[in-house]
Amino acid sequence: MTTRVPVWIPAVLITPLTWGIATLLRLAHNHSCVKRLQYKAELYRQVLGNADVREIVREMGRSARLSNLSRSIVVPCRVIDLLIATEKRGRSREELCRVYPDAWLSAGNEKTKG
Amino acid sequence: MKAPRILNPRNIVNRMEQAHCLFTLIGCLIVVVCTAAGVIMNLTTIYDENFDHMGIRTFCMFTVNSNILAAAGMFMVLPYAVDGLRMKNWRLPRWLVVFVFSGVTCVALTFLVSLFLLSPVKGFVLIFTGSRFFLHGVCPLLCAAAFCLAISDRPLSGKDTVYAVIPVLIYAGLYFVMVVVIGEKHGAGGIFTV
Repeated sequence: MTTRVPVWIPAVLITPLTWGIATLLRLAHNHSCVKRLQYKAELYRQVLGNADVREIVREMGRSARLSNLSRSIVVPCRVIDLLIATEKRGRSREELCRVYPDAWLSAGNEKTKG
Repeated sequence: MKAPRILNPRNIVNRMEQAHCLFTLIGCLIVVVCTAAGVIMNLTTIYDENFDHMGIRTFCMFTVNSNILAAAGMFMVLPYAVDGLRMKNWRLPRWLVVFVFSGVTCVALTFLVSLFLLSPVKGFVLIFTGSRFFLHGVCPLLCAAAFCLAISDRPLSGKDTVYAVIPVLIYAGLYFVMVVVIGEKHGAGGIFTV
């Protein structure tokens, strides 16, 4: 009743086939990732126009704190990377990643005073 | 005078991130449920005239093991998808993406072997009905779709392909030892099957 695949098939066919499948899946995955990132970057570029990314990141940090999204700071580096890709002012990732927690903490102070 | 409202990109970013998380969450949930359904159907079937690896022996089949591996990966993605929905920030650790990649490679192999090797021998209807409908068809296709379209935002390197092949090589090694080295005559080979 068991359909046993002859040993030569796994040796000759299935091992290279597995490698081929993995490579094809990786290529499809990478292609999809790149397309999605390009789409998001283009969307942000269209929607945000010439807005200052520093102000946008500051607002993101502020609104994240005020809307109680989290009690701990999680800097959205991937989103910040996308925003950097949409502007031409040459802001660095380090600079913007520092702006986010600063805004988050000041919003926390605002909240406590309020 | 009311201060002008700063453009809040959070809404746009939030929507994009939430849509991504939601798509991943639904895809992963369907895979986990379908795999569970397929495995439970195999476990509760005591006798099948076409397949002798039912009941507890179902865990010897590559089909079942590969689907469990893929479903385990998808299951581990679920908390990150829920967290992403809540935090509106989709992120997934690299090790988990590679783990899912291994599982998806295994189920893709299962799908192709079922379609091109087993179907011509046993018949398409037999191979793609009952629990096999989930384990040979739905789960592999959904896993591939979820992995390619939603699972991560970071491209994988060529080195990750090596990791993806490891589970298949482990099963191949076990299969070789049990079926070829020890052999079915000595009672070992009968438990392993493709």
